[in-house]
Amino acid sequence: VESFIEEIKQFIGWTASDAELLASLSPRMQRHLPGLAEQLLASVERHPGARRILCSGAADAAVLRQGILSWARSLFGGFYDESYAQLRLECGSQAARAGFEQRYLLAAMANARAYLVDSVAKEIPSCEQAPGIRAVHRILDLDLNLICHGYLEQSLRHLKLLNAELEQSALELAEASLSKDEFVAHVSHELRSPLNAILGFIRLVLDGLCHSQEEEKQVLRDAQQSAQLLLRIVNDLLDLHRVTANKFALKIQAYPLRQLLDATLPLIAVQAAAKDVQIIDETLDTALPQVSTDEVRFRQVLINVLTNAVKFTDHGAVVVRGFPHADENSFCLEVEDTGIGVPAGQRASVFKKFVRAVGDASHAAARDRADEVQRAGAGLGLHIAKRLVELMDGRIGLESGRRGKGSVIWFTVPLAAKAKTQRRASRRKQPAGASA
Amino acid sequence: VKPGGPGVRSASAKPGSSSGSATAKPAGGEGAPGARAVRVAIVEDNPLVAKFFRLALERAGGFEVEAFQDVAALLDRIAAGEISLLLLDITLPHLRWKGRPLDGVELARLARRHCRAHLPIVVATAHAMMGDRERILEASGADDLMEKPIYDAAELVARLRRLLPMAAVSD
Repeated sequence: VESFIEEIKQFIGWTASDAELLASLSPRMQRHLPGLAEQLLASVERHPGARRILCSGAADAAVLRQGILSWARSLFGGFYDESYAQLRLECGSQAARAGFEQRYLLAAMANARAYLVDSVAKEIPSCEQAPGIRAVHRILDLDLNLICHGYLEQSLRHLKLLNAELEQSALELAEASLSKDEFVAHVSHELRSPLNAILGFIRLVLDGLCHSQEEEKQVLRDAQQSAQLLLRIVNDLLDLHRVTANKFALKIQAYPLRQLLDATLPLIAVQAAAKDVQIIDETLDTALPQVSTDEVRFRQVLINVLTNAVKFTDHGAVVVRGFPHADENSFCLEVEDTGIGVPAGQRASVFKKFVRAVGDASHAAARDRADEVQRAGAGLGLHIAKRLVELMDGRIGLESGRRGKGSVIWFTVPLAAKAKTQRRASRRKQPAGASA
Repeated sequence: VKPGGPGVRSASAKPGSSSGSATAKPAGGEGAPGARAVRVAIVEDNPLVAKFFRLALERAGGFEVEAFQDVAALLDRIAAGEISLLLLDITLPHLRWKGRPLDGVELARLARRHCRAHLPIVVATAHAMMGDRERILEASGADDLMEKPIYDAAELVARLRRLLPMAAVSD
């Protein structure tokens, strides 16, 4: 700032005698200054654009009047150093922040200049006026430079900030459109595989390429199975859209967890029975609390997690467990399978869109069976489960199976308010305290 | 997979024109008579799609089809000269090679390196966005690419036959 103020002083032809002259004028100028403040304030009030700076009324007018007055006094203070410059820079910067347009600033400065030149002329005999008037012009030139510089600096800072924000949002938009492209590519890919089987099998029948009626039937059943897979994928895509666009109208209420499980597990038992898989509900041995959740979406999460477990287990059991979560006001449910498991490095990605669990070599032997198709899906079930759990203030995760085999998917659900929990729980045979 | 199979010969399964001995073959002998059947290896993630490919090729006649999920077994058969054409998918999440996943693009390159003669490779993929075709053909070195859904058995057969040496083509 110091070199900056020196530069301006040189440029406007400032001399040390100007400072002395202004300081000596100070006592005689004091009586003119309130008039200057009134005149500037009045001109601000007259302009609708400029008046915006006074938006909160009388208080701001008083502050502005006081500000103009002390500024005008300091013009004749005799010290035109760094802190003098700093105040002007700050004044310009404030005007910019307040949205005070530069043309009003320039007009006000011209106004002040004319007023002060007049005042000096009234105080000094006309034969001695010239140096005093010159000094007033120079100090106002100095101020104009400093205030405008402060104003410009602030405007530039603001523009840079806006620019950075724009760049950031352009970047985000580009990313979003990229992931939208990827999404469309994924969806197209996921739909084409089952379509291939459906259209192909139908065409085989229509072209008379089947050897027998029995074979035609089998081929049509294969087509039907693929069509069902296609329907599942389409439903998952719709759910994904709803969960992404936040279009689920969640109805969060207190529900007995027992009731939610009892209403859901039998649906999965049918899927499991079709394979050599048993559903074991270990929560039957414990008291379950009231939970605060959306009934439909909670059951959807449970179904997605359980379906996933059953899908990837060929033999053995899928176990459901529940326990109070350690450090939160929530309850944890876990579903353990004895399936193919997920390598440690891929655990986080299981919950991403379009990621399917992957079998190991030993599992590949089973791949030729037609019921393998049942395992297929768009890889959206766990992603939707994660989004729903998070919408309902819970968390979800995956760990390796407790006995080093298969995997465990756990998720948390908030407990309902305590009073309700105890009242409802006391109706069951377990003591109320056990469920809190 | 045994060539022929039970029962009726389908209308479009044309017996080889070059076959003087066709009538001497047992019923359902659709493999190019007198000539070796074309052995097609299929690597396809969706088992029902694989089944459709197999049916489409077998019914056309002259093809023996085998589906592979085991990369090592496939490469062994290729190295032994027992595979005449490879039909493969690009997205193969279940496939492993030396402990790591691999896709159809890598598998195509790997297969080429295991075959002394030129092995015809056709990619059947559901990647159908702009630029996918060029990108996949370039990266895999495959001879042809078909976009799924592929449901016209006759077209599939025609596309594969185009890549086979004349002697192996049974019609």
